[in-house]
Amino acid sequence: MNKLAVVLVVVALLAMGGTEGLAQREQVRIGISLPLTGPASASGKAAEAGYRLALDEINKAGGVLGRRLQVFIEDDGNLPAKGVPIFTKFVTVDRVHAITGIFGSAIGVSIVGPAKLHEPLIAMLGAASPLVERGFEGYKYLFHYHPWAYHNMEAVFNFMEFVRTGTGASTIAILYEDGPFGSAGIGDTRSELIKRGFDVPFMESFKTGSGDFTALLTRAKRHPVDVLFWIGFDADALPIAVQSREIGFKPRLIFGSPASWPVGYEGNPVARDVAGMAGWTSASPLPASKEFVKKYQAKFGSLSEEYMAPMGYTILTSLAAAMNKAGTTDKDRVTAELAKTDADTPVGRLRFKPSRLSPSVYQGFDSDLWMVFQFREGRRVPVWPKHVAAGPLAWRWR
Amino acid sequence: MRWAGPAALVVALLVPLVPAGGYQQYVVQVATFVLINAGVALAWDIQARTGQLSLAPAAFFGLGAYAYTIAALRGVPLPVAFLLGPLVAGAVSLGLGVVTLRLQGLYFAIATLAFAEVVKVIFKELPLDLTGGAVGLTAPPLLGGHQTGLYYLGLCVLLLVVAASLAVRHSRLHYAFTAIRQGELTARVLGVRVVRTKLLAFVLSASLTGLVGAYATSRLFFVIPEDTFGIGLSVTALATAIFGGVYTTAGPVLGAIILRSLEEGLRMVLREGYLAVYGVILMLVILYLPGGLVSLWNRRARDAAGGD
Amino acid sequence: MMDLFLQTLANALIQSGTYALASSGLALAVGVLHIVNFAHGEFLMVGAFVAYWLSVLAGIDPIVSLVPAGAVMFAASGVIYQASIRRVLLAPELNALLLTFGIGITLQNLAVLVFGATPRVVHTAYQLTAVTLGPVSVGVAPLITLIVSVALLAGMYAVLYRTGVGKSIRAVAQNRTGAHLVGLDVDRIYLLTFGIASALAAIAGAMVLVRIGASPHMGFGFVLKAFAIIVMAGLGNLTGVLWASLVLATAEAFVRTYVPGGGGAAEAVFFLLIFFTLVWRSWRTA
Repeated sequence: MNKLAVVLVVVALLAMGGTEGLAQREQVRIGISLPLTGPASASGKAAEAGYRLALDEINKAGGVLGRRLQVFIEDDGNLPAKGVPIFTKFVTVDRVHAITGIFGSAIGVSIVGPAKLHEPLIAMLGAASPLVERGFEGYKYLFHYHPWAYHNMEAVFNFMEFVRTGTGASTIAILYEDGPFGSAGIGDTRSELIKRGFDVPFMESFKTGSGDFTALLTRAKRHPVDVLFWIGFDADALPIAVQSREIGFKPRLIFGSPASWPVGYEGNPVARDVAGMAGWTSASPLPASKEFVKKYQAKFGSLSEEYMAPMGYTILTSLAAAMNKAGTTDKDRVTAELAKTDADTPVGRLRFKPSRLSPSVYQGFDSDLWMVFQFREGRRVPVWPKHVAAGPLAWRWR
Repeated sequence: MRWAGPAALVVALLVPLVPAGGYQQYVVQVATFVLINAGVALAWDIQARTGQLSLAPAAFFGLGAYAYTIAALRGVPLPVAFLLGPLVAGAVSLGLGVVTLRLQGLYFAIATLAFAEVVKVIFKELPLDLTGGAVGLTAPPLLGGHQTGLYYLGLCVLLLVVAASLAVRHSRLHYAFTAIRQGELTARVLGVRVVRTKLLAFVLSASLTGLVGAYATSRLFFVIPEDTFGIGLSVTALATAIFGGVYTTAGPVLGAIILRSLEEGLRMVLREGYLAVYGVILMLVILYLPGGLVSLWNRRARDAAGGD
Repeated sequence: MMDLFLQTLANALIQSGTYALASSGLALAVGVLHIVNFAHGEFLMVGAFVAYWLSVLAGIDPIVSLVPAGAVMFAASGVIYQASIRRVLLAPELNALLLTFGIGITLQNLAVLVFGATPRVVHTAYQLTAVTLGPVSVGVAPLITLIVSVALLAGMYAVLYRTGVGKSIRAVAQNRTGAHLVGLDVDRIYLLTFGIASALAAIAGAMVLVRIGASPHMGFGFVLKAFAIIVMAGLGNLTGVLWASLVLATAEAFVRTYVPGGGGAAEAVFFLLIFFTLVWRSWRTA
């Protein structure tokens, strides 16, 4: 009887002490700034889904540092006017231990000021502009997961060389949207292609969403173009493909690099063999990706082809893992642990190295993130690089 | 409501000092954006009083922003670069104003819109090392980016715009503006120097907008043709002024405060779809308060709403 | 050389059809009701989505969907008119601006809420077909758009100048008070005209769906150019809409095709032309 009483008292005390200890210790908080409205909301919502999936998993596995991870998801509309106050709110009001999200380069640049003031740990989801990279020069707590614009271009160059090796193609026509996404470094892109032995007889800008390409494509038609390469947005995908047919412009390959494609595009015959660049497709053979797809479908039902979903998932997962390994939320220790990350994620192997233009920044994925697929039979079939290819490059012979 | 103005000023002065705990900086930042919106809206209103519906505020805002940024990046001392903003905007507006003198109503609006779009494309196409092209430029902020300092500077800028608005309101210019708005021909017959007055309104408005643009760059750190010259800015200025109450000083300022707070508030309450609610509120206000918000306590504005 | 020239002309002609169709409804709304309808682009978007869902759910071709798209928007605009626009007609015109702006934002964001922001495309048999006449090749879809737009504008002209209803509409456009005094039901005419104008926008949307796709944010680009076109044509001048569309589309096409670096400059040329036309006309009539 005595022993039982003692045991009961001890257990009770332990329980009380345990919960009290739990209450005393702070919950880990992470702020996530995403474009949930506006033209970029497709990517923003995809990222949100990825973050939430990771959040569920993390909390089911015990949370971060023994407590439930709490996230604050805010809509910045991809506008600095909203993004800057949200960033400040995260730091000063919600007092988060890390900030993630941040999709557009404009916001990326605008938060440089407030970031340098408070120096929070930032795990950036997007922002490819070199202006962001240079803005954060000397900053010690930025983990930039997304490739920079020059990485994106490197992937394009590598793919073009792959095409040339297999088919002898050498003439490229370029169409780029006249905003920052399309124009960033476009002059350098052309020079580099020429340096690598390609012929670029045509390069023109267009206004995205305007839907009229007949005039530009008519001009392109005057050259024997092997590859039509365009940089723009989802709204441009159909008009470019359709209007090429309309005026009789027949490059052997149409290769577009919008961040996303319109709904229903893959089912449209005009999309046949159109190539696109993506950070990821759900058909990826990587084991981590297959796991991710399974979990995603279990939670959300439908499947997303947006690479922002696995990116968001990867970021939150790696952040939580680093905090757990560090055993604290102290940003210096977490930074040290996060920098050591070497993990197999749904979008490939994640390892950080010093960023090219700003070595203090930790750069995650580079040109290896990108792969090229072709629309075939209503699906996206990866064709490059070899280790993710599920089919050969479809190429139209004259 | 004579005490409303000074009371608002006192409140504005105290914003950074309000003990909002953690919300402090967040509030200051939102307040700074309110100051910017109010400045542009009020500057637009000054010129709207002559009956000209300009859709070019974005052009002048952008010219001011770019003038400041380009000058600052070339080593011009920041205060000087800051003043270049309104100067450049004002100079360009003089040219535009002269050319469009004979345009009225919607024709004038579209001409100014066309002008703004052309300016945007020009900046997109200019060589990269000159203006950053489509990618944009990062701008060195005034006062070293000091949050509270920038807020007070913004307040000074807005007060300047308010002063201009009040000066126009309480001078003979007010009658000239109103006469022109109600009928240019009649105004001329009555002896109003129409050309001079219209140009004055236009250039004053544009210079003030350019000043706000130069200031805003310190808040955004970044100029880029797509956003800095974006028509969204012009439409927001218009909407803000009309929502708050046109042809008044308090209207645009009040409109900016309410609209921005509404947006932030709605966003916090309804994560998605808050913009749809925002749109509905805009509609409801203009339907039931034709004189804008100001008409709630300003009878003159309510009367003016009955057809001008 | 000649081939390029002819093809460019063909491209311009085809594109002008889209511009004219998108602007015709606005010309009616502004010309008759004298309101600046900022929601015009969103009405276009509604038409595009109606056609989209009819295509995806019932396999109905967008060309056939022109009718239901127009009808849906006609009905919807009637509701919008009764609930809001009629009250603002007597208020300063700035109020109509804000009101339609609010309507536009609401519609746009409702669409994002319900459909998501990603553009959607449909598949039609004629999307890939082109008609070749010698050296010139044009797509069937935009050709149909051109025909539809000319037909609709001609129809509008016929209604306005050859029917009693048309006469009433013109009367109200010219002088609202006078029309009221002679016994015309101004309110009903406004309602009808607004309905027709909105239906025209929706029809344009259905045609745009085939060539570009449907997305909640698509309206904005069109409304900007539509305003510019109707103003350049001269407010109240319907046939002018066709001419203005043609001139502007031709300028754009030629700049894009012949000027190196013209892709970006074409936008500027479009608006410069409008600017100069407006300014020149204003000084000429002095």
